[in-house]
Amino acid sequence: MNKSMNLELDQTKVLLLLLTMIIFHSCETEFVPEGTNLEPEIVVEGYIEAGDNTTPPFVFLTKSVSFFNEFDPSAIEDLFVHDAVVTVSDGDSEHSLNEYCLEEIPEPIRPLLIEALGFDPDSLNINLCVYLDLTGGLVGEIGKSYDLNIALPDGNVLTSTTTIPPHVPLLDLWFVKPAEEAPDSLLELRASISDADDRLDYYRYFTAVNGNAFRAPFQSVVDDAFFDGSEFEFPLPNAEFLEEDADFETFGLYQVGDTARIKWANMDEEHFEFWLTLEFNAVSQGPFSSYTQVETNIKGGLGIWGGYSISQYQIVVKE
Amino acid sequence: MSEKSKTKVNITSYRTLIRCSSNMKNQLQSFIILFILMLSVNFNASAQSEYTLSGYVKDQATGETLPFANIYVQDDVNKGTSTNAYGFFSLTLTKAEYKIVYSYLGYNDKIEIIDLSKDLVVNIEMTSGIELSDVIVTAKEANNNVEGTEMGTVEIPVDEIKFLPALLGEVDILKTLQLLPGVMSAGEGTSGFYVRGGGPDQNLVLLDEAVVYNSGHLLGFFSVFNADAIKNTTLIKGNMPASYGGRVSSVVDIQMKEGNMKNYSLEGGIGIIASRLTFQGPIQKNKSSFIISGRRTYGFDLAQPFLKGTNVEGTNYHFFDLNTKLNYRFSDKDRLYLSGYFGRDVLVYNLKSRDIFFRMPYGNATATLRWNHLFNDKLFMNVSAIYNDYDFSFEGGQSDFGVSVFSGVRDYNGKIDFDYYPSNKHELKFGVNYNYHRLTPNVANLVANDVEFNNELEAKFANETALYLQDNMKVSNKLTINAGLRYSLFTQLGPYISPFTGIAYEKGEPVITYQGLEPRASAKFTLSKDASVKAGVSLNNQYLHLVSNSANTLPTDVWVPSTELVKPQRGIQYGLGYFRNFKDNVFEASIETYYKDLKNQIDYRESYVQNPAFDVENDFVFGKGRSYGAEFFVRKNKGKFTGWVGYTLSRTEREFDEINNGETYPAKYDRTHDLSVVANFKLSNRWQFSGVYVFGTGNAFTPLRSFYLIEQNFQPRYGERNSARIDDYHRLDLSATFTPRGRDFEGYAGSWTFGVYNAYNRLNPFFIYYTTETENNLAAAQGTAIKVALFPVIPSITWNFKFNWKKIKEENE
Repeated sequence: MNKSMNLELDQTKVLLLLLTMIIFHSCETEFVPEGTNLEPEIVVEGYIEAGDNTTPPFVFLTKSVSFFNEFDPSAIEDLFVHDAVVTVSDGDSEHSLNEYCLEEIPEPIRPLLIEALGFDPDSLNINLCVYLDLTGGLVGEIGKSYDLNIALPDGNVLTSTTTIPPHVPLLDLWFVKPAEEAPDSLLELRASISDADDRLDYYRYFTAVNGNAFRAPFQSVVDDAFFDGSEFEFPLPNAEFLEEDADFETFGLYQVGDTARIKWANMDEEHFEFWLTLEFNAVSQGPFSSYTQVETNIKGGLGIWGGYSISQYQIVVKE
Repeated sequence: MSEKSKTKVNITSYRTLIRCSSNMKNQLQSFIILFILMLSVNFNASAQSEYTLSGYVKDQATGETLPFANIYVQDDVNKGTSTNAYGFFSLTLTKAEYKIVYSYLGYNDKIEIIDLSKDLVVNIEMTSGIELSDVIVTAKEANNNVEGTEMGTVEIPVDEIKFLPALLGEVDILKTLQLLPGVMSAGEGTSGFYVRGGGPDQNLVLLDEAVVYNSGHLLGFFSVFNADAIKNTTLIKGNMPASYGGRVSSVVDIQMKEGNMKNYSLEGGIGIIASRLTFQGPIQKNKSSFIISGRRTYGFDLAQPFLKGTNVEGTNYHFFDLNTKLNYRFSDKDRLYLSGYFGRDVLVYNLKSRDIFFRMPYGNATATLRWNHLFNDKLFMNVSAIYNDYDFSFEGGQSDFGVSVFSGVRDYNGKIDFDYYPSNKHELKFGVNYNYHRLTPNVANLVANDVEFNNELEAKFANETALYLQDNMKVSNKLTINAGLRYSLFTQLGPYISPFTGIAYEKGEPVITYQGLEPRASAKFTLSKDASVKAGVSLNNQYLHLVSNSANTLPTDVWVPSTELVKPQRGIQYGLGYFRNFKDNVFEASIETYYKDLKNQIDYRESYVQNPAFDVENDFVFGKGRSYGAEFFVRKNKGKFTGWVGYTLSRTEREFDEINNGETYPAKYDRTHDLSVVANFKLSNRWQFSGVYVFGTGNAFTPLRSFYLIEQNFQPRYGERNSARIDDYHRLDLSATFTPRGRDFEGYAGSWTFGVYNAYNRLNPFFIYYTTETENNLAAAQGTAIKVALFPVIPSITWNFKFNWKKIKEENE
């Protein structure tokens, strides 16, 4: 679980800095960075899944944006790139992903789709546009590779390839009290897996509580470098309680009585490297790290075209 | 042994050196041939009846030897020398009567008339004290600034800097070095430093000859060198003499005090964050002495009773240093020194409500055993056995899960160095150095519910050997040449399994060998009695490396050896300078220019993620660097008012194929303008005032290029490396030292130092960061860019005291 080790080492450094900052009463000032005047880059975020309750393959296409202070919903809507021709090939056949903006999608499919895309159907008030296969003709399969091809209206073409690796499901899930002196109302989730031998496995997980959409915690990926081929036990902190400014005392815990859902996924190496660098970059600013360039498997743009093999679990929070 | 035969010995050793490297370049060949020619010509030139004046220069009050003191003939400064690191000197002159001047910074000059009609051995004792008048100049100074062949070399006796303002009153030798031209601070308040565009791992930091691999406490905000235990510091920022090696940028050679040979004394100080105590004295008067000096922080210790019973009980942070030294003089010809340093930082954190704990101790330990032997009045030998160790460990966990990480460097080092003074025209130094390194990468263990996992990384081992010879040759009254050659040989040793070939090497079996000849030369040409021009070139190889991903070196950063993948760093530096003194050497001034070319530089790849599971060298990329600049320096050493102004105009660049799309970019320590003004005014014996002003171009950083949307969050994307600048840095520090008339009894002396760091409260940005917040379902988003200033105006007060036994005794009598 090298991820958690990183986290703790990072926390040590942060703690030392906090210590220094407290001793010396450091002072923060906001500023507006100079504009870069660089052309926006095209950002791809698309997934194809195999396993339990899969979401149909989809791709978000957006533009990167210079530093901003405030974005309202319409400014966010303006980031979406329309009228691209998006196709996915599994080597045997080619499938088109068509652009749908949510307002065009009829009830009762709409809320289901919104939830599948990771949004909360009750309060979404922007008109998301997504490239999607609603025909059901394209379903991810373990072991297969999928080529993505995006032809933009301006003539530029973006390409990518991802593979859906074999899946290693969770063996068990259970709750424990985080510490003897902790209150009874919050519990820690533990899980175990039996990692596959002689193979690099890359894992990611998402959590949801009650009816909410799945969210990934800010450190959501791990490889099996430390526990290759072993049966391994580890905690699965709740993404909703894992904000960056979380309270040390309650972070990652689950409320007794809630229902927790876990989405557990395997990825290929490029897909893993994308999340690893993205999550490291998000928390490694400041004096302890220079920037990290986030890896991408998109040729001609940024972002990710990622395959997942997944399993999903549901468990009531109780000791 | 006659001088002639000695010369032969030295030439033979050169031939051995030449044979050691088969693929030598023409440049090197011609250099060596020229060197040998000059050596032989000059030796043959010396004849007549000559006698040698030799001995030690010491402090009268304590018996401490004074390193690098000047000794010269009053009427002819060309006839002169300086003491070596152990206070020994040897000066051979033709038979005559001479007025010899002994001079040392911060001490009163001593003049003695000698009749050199036979070899003379003297022990010179000098008294410290700063002249209160601006105009008294006791003798025509021989001045290293103009007369020495050294370039980019500065001596700093610690007593000279104790009055300067310091962050929280903690006098810090490394921070004082940052006030010199060509030396840049690594960041606000930190003791980390960069020299002439070199990285932090390119500075050779020595404490009594032992390498100090991590010189910082508390993220580098304080250095590990307790000023009370230190005698002298030498900074060499260019043209490293051949006796030093293993780093491509600079040397900081720190010598610990030896211990008072005459009286017992107890001195110390109480400051805001730490307190110090030093006890020293003779074991047998004028024969042997000891010193023990400690420093410790205590802020969080005092808080412990208040944490009892809370959720974070036991959380603590402290650091301490302990310096000790013993020395014993067997005879006039033999002396033994044993010195040691031990320092630690310890951070402990507990959070009982989550069953979380971690403990992070790290620090250095060094031990040096030295034997000085005088074969005769011209040949001095030092033999050293040195051990040093830096280790970092981290243990942490939460309930059933625990991690531990360990890393470190350990050296076993043996050295023999000779100083040979055959005539007034030559000063030779030669020696051999052997070092066995053990470098432990991040060895990580993970425990999950009693099941243990580890990253299977093992320590790496290496031999590093060096031979050197150098000669400081007075070719004529106007021209002096210092030429040297160093040969270095580095072998990575087993046990080791090559990740490239799969070969498993046994313990002690060579894995890969690197070697190199490292010529060094500098020359001084005298223009007038007050002015000279100096030029120099030096080539250095570096076999151990530390790559840092942060602004400053952190305790978690790991030293790595050269391996199959990591090639030795190589640096060539060219220097040219004009040196001029004014007003009978009351003012020293210099302009030095340099150009430095660096090969096999190392950095982390742009998508580097700290991952203890793998060997860090997998994340390295390799490139080159260069730096050039001009340094302007004016210093006033004498009188009521002392101080200096240093200004550097420079540029430092790096070029890596895999960084910034292969385009050249400014290094993170590129600083166009860097100005330091240091002033010290002694108003009276009771009041002394000091001020330091610094100005520097803002640090280079990699700016935000854009944000982009992934999983409903805006992610930062960065632009060209180091293409933006943080605000310019400037700061004024002031201090006043008050020494009350301690008339109660003579043995006691106390003083109060009042200081203000950052007197006009300039909020210098220490770092910047960006945050984005996206409301649920992309309802809105906010971006913020924030500058963080670490140190506002910070006042400090320190009380220093000293008890001197002899004076107490006299008082009682």
